[in-house]
Amino acid sequence: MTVSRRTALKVLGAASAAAVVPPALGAAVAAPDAAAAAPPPKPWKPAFLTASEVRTLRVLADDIIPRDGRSDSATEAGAIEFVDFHLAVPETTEATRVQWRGGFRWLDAEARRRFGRRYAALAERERHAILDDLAWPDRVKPEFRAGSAFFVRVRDLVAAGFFSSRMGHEDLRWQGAAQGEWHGSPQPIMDRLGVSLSLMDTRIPTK
Amino acid sequence: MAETEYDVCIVGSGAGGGMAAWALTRAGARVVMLEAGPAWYASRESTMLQPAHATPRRGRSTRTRPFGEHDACDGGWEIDGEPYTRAPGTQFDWWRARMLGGRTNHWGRISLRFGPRDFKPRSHDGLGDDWPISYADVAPYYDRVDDLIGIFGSVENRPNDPDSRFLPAPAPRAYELLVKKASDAMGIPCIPARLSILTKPLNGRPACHYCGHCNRGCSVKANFSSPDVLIAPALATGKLTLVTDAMAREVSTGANGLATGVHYVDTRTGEDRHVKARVVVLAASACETARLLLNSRSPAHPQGIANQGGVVGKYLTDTTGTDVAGFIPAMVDLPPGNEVGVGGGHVYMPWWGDNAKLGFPRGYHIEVWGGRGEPSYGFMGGIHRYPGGGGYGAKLKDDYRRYWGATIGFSGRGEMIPNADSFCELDPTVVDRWGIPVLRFHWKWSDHELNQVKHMQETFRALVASMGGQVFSDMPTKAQGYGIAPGGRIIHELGCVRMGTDPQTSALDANCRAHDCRNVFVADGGPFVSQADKNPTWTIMALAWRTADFITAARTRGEL
Repeated sequence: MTVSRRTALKVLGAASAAAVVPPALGAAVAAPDAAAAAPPPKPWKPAFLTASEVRTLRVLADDIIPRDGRSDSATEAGAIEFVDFHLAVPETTEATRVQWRGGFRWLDAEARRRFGRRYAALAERERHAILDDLAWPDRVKPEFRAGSAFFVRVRDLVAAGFFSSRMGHEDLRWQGAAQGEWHGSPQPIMDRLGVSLSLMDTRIPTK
Repeated sequence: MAETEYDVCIVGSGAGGGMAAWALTRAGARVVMLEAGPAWYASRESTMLQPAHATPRRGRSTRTRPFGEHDACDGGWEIDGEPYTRAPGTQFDWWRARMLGGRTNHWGRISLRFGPRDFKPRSHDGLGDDWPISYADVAPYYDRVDDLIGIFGSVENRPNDPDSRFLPAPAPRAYELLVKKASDAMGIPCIPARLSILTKPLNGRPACHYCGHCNRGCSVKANFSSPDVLIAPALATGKLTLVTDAMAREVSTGANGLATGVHYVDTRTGEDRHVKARVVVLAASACETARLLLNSRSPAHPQGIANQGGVVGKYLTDTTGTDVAGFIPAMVDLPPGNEVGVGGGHVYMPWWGDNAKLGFPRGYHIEVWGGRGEPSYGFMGGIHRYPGGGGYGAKLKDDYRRYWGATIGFSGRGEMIPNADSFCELDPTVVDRWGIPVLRFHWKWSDHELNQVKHMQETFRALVASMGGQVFSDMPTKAQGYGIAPGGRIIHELGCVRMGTDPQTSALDANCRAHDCRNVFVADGGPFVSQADKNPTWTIMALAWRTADFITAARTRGEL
């Protein structure tokens, strides 16, 4: 029997609905901002980060990916839990973990040097003053190189945590798998790139 | 009770083993198949449609799934308890699958025929060796593989890139058309890709639904993998006995030197077992098959089976590879829309150059990738390499949205010529957890490969520039091998049990039968005499089918 595409898609729909999809990480943990939501979720226990590092990371992650008109912030998308998970898995090397642990220390030491308080306790203006010295690696001053390298690690992982979450997918208008049909890219994209399928009609002569 | 004697024992269940089992069971042979790993069928176990955010790992690789947690294939360059060694100062990384279907669960479904020149390279440029067979010998089997398994593409009539019996090719994505435009300007042919993914229903399998997750295995069998497309139908004949978790140790032989079956380890219990068969077909992957042959020593075969000339393990090659990606400003902030397509590129560039005018003798093809993929672990890593230079806050968040998918990458996949410094042999002292002596690898690229890869780097950089883009990395130096991937990293090991007419310089005859053991055959990448710049799966299957037909004819004549 030939299975029609329609039948296949029906099967796909059923299969995906029946699949055991674990709750999104962000929803499975107790983000403090969502603590009021019922039912009370189990308290989250970090696998790698210390309580102090979690405090710093919550502030830093939302400095990197804040809430805006299109979506919420990194912490609200579960980025803290994502970072902790990925630092704890065996695929992350001990050397990388040391750079994270030491990076948090560097950041707090820098915050105390400038403003007398740890990073998480600073005002937004003070935090931004530090980030302005770290966030553009190409123009960073020599004394901030180590701090900048840490910041780049944090930015990469926090952004991946945010944009790979359900919230991130919605923010990007990612439409997901199982499209059913394919007739080429949507016309608005073709128009913007100035291309058309007729480009495929020509051939380079074979030598 | 007497041990059951099968007509044929096949070791390995990937492209070659699956194809041989399919053809032999249809011809009525009673076949037993040994597979080192567990059973696995994409139609039952694929996570095809699971979104990245469904798991805390978000698609990141694991130790046994180096291409991401959802990749169908369980295996890798390192397997616990199954070491291999390298000669001092050399690097070769050996990839192995440990599951039903082997690497057919992993590969990109790029299914290129070897061309007439690829079978006779020495006649063409004096390097390497000619195969004992020609394109015309294999062509009918390529046709049959096309019709059974399905492949899309376009008829191009190119002299050394023979056309298959194609299903319609999917329309290129917008950014691939941008690549076509740039290729036209540089005189590089850019044509529809050739992948074993169904764009029309075929033999009871439905057409692709364009979820882009071919690498996870297809739940509806719209792409090719050995378990769902070859082994399941072979089992349905009632002629195939499948033994999984069976690690082959050696081919057993009788006093007359002929094979009597295969010794294997039941990896669940650790017990040694033996299966009796009148014919043995090794399809364990090129190097694993070489290892089995070298470990099959007996008074009749003191150096192992097929090794009277000492060539088993020699002439080992892998595809050359290097990648370049660039940021394409024209692709910044494109309108949203579905550009998923099939799980692979919709276009590619077959080799176009005239090697007589270049500093290297053999060619390569180019694979194209880019655009927006599912946001997963690793999303937009290194944002500071984009024009924004990094940053934080609302501006950064918007940069991620705008720059997402504004990249195009090129991967070169080229032909390596066999050389005397690249081979595998048994390590004299090291065994795996089952007590089986392991392989030791030796590896060296020659200038043929290094100059070819330099040309890839220069070409890809020129393509990016001609699209108005900026490359993310500096041109690698000669000391960096021009960015060539280490041996084994492209996972196209071929040739270490090569065929030929002379038993002193080849292991197998023109029918992939051991010169010195007339009931032992090889049906994987081992028999290849040249690499070509063509992904080998289609040729492995065509040769396996051809070998199966030879076995059937010999059995009919009462010779096996």
